[in-house]
Amino acid sequence: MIGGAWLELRSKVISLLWGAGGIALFVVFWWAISVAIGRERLPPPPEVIRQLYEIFIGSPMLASRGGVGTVVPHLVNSVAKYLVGVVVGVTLGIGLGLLMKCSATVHDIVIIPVEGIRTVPALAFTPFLLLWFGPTALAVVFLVIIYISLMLVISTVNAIDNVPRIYLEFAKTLGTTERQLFRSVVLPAILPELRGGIRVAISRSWGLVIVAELMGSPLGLGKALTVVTPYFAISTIIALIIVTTALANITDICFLVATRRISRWAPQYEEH
Amino acid sequence: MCPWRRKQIKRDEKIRLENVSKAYKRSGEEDLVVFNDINLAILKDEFVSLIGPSGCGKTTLLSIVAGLTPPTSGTVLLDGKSISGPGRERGVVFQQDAIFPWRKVIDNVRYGLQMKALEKAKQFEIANKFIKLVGLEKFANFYPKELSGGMKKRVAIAMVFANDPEVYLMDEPFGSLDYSTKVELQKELLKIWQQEKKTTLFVTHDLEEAIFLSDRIVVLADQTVKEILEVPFSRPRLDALRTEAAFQDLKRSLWKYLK
Amino acid sequence: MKSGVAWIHARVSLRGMRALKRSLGVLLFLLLWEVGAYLIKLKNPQFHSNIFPSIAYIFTESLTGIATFATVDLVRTQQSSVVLALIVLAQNSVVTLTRLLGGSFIGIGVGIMIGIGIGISKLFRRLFGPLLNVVRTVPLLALIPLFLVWFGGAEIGIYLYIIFGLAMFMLVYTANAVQNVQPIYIEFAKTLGASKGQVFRTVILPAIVPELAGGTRVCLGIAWGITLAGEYLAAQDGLGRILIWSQIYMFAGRMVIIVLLFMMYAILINTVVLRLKEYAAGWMP
Repeated sequence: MIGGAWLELRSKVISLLWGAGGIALFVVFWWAISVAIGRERLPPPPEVIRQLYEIFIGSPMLASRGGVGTVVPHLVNSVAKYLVGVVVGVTLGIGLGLLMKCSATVHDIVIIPVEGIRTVPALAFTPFLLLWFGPTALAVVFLVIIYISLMLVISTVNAIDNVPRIYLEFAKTLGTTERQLFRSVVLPAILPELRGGIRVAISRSWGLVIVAELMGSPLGLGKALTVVTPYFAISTIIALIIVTTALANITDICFLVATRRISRWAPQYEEH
Repeated sequence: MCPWRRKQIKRDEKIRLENVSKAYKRSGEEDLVVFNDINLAILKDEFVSLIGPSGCGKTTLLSIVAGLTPPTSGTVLLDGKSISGPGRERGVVFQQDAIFPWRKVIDNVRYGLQMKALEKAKQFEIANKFIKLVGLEKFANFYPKELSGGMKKRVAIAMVFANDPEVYLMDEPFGSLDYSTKVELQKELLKIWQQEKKTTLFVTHDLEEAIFLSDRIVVLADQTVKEILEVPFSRPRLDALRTEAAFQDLKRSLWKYLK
Repeated sequence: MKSGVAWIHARVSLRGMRALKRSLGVLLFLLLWEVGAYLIKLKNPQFHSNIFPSIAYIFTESLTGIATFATVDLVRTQQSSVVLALIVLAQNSVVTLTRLLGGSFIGIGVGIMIGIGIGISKLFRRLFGPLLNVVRTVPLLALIPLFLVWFGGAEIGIYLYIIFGLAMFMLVYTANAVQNVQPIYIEFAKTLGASKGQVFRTVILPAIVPELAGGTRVCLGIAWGITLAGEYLAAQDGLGRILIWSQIYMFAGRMVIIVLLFMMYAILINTVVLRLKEYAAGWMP
């Protein structure tokens, strides 16, 4: 009894130690290379950590060239754009997907332009958005909206197509009408798959936000990067990238936790 | 009288299980004991069925003999030598589809021979012989995805038999098939077995199948060997046997063990 | 006889209807485009063609406009703007596609190799598993400034970026695929006498091919994004560069042409990958 629980704990601790060992190796490796090729080319870990601290407190570098002193306003700005883009994009994408499955006419009309536009990488639209909206937050938000909705339209359609026919047929033999069928069988059945699709789409959106901001934006993490890049301040760049990664992870975890109930019943839900 | 009670026969033992036990550790609870202290001897060229209620561990026992699962204690001896790990001398026909979907039938059947680095011509010669034996000559160049469940099982059997192991281990090979295909394959198995006779351990939950195929039946229940019965019917076993009174009597007497 | 004809009529009608609706979709899109172009024309009579050109404009003025990207020597050899434009497009296509496909090839290859190593080695997995899980979450596109600072706009920088990004992705994907090979195949192979090395070559490798093909398709999608980002921010040539410079000088029509090219290439590459998958994994049920 106690023996079993102790064994489990022990194995968890052991894998944790192994993992920590790997990370430690990585840090040592990094440090070694930093020493080997010089701190201008690759700053050693402590310097990066220092920058990580500084950009939050107050960095003269960030303040230069008419920028803001700390990374916080940039951070908030990027998060705001991201969230707006995600919410609108997800709603639009799933909505259109559902509409397409509800009406064959809509499906047939819309499918070719949608599939056609989807073949193009999302970044190809960035110049258009910059042209039409200028280097503003709107361009970034629209980029995210376009990307996510295109991804999710197809995701939704596929998910609905993948609902095993047997569920629908069984439901019909139990007296379900077409309307009820959609709400009581199709929707619950597609939620886990949809959850996975949304997760992937929103995690990729962070990269789009950063690049769009890199290309022209008054504020945002991408903008912070453009301020710092001319100084060749690699440690600050890395620090900003770490901040971005942390944000991406936080939004991912928040999403997973918030939607945990959706996949409660799914027999095999993989985390990727 | 009971002609099917165990008799003493002196013949060479092929497989011997000595004090084999298997238990799984569980966190926060007592160990899950599958079976305890199993002692069993399977004789040369004998066809033995292993039956028992579901969950009694018959598949686990077979897996241990196959070397795919280690026993918690005890040893398994093949010709007096203890085994460790799987090997070509103990061929296994699994319950699930294990034939390789990326190889055609002919390439599947010659797989074991290929691993043994037999010369190519010989590989194809032997493989074709066994493909013919299971009645799949027309499908030699098909992919598994184009075959039915029963056909895929035949490929598996051909693969194992072509590899010429010393013993055949079969884990409910016909479990997932419908009744008529099952009966068909049982007949074919016996036909092939008559030709390439080897020691066989056959796990099944189907009493009729066990009686039809085997020389002896081992009942595994309550974590131990409950009973070992001799099947008195002579070979070759014919379909008519299934409806004979003696057959049904034997089946009835075994029923109580499956509860 | 009559019912037969009616039946055929109904069938053809149904399929015909769907095809009609699909072409309607395309026509509707083009119509909306023209309407949009017209509205912009009303609003901004001077620069409308630069912001939202009509379709006719795109295929005349914009196309020839691309000739302005031609190098000096090229201009000397050619008179016709259209031909010049086409040559410019062709040359830059080659540049962009080489980056895309070359980088992808190497990146995916490296990723698969390391991924297989991680998949089969328990030691590797325990040691580097958590580390890789963390590194994986770094948004790829956010690394551009880093590569920019390290390599400037040099070709090698763009290549290394693509290779790094794809290798990271393919690595995890392959390791997962190796882990997900159904154990029954491995067990069966062992009972048929296969050694560890033989199991690897004859079971694991063939079994992961379909999944790797799928992963490759996703990788190519990612590679497109990375290549474009690289060309926007750093490159001296390539279709992405034409795209961004056209944007800076506000020539929307030229941008549309480039995007149409992207569409064409993407579809082409996708078809090729699908064909390859059919060939390599035709055995999949």
